[in-house]
Amino acid sequence: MAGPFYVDPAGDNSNGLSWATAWITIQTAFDTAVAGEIIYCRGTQTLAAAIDVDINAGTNAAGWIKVIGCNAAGNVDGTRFILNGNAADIHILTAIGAADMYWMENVEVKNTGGAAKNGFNFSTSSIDGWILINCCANNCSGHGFSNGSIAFASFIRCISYSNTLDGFYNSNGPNRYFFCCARDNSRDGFSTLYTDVVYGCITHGNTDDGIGVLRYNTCLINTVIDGNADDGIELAASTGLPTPLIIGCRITNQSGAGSIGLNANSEPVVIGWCYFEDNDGDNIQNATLHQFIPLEGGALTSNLEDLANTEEGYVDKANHDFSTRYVDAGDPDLRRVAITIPWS
Amino acid sequence: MNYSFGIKPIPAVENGHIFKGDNFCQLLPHTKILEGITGLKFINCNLTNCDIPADAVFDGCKPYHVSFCPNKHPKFIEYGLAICIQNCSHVSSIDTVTIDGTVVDEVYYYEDRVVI
Repeated sequence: MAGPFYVDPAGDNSNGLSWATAWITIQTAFDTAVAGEIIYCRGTQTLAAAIDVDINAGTNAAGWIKVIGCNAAGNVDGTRFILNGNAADIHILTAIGAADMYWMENVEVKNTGGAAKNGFNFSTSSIDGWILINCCANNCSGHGFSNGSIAFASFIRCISYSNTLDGFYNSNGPNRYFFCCARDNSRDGFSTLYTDVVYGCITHGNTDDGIGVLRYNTCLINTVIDGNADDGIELAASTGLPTPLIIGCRITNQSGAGSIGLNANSEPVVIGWCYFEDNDGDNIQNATLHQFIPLEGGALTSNLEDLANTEEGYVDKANHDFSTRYVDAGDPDLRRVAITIPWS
Repeated sequence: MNYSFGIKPIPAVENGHIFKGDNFCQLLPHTKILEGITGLKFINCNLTNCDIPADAVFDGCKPYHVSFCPNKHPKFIEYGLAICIQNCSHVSSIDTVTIDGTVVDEVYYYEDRVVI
């Protein structure tokens, strides 16, 4: 049976080969599509049971299995296909077995209900090579994206918000996060990163750390860490493992009493050209093993805990617009790299 | 916005207010929020452990209640969750460490519990 396949909860569920004959559940499509095939989805599927990706996989030879959300007219314009857990105490989408190489674009998961149930649940089996673009997880009782067993994955323009645990929980790796946003989660925005790259992302308004339990060989580049209720970035303590790199980030307004911009926990760290502004506690603390390059250039310094504030210049952070206003003609070029994610 | 665990107060709103994408997660089941406000609408909000005025309507979310285990979430103690004993009601399993037939340690595993 060759694709492309179609999923629409309003379809007639006959053969999945057109919008008119679309399957009414994405589970049928996952159980059918093989490497190189495409599944188009539209509308909202309300779940009574979790969706399991546990039969087929993409391959290097034949390509990814692609799942692409469409608008009501069936066009690909960024409209997300929605999987609503309806508070049924279920993980929404779980990858099981060797379900490697899926490409998911424009998919939203939400409303798991229950206790510790994840939106995208990649913590059950070791899987590789997924690409998620414009995917969203919100209002889950566990993590929005639970990435405990996924590696060599790329998350591009994904958002995770208002989840009870972490926005992106990542105890495996290496994975790549490009232009993603974690906001208003009840624990960390991003947690337990190691061997990962986080580029151009935003983590703000989370109840715990913006980036928590940061571990070795991770790069944070041009990322906004703003307004979290605990530390902006907290390195995992007592690892002594190879050094995280934190380059060109904006670490501002951590709001809890004594919250630190960067809590290095006496771990080795390299910090370069970062902005710090109005963190409730010190901008940097416990940075005993470090290389630090200040924003305006100059010599390496050990005077981290007295680091002066800088002007943050966000356009409209209340509405999650963390691009910069460029009002200061003296701003270095690095700061002029906008972080503009029109999330809602 | 993130109003979870009362760290940031929920603002006073008018009857008929619409919340979209906000996090109201509370530490304890059946915590009343927004008492006395009518006609509220919640879209894609986290309503864990919230008791909402009865005429509220929900789109993509609904309230449900969970007993959080402080042994599993020690950070939540900072927000006011009461400390549990080690062998509390949230224990899901126990591993024993045995040397030469003698139990020398026990490892407790915990899970949050759904409550009505």
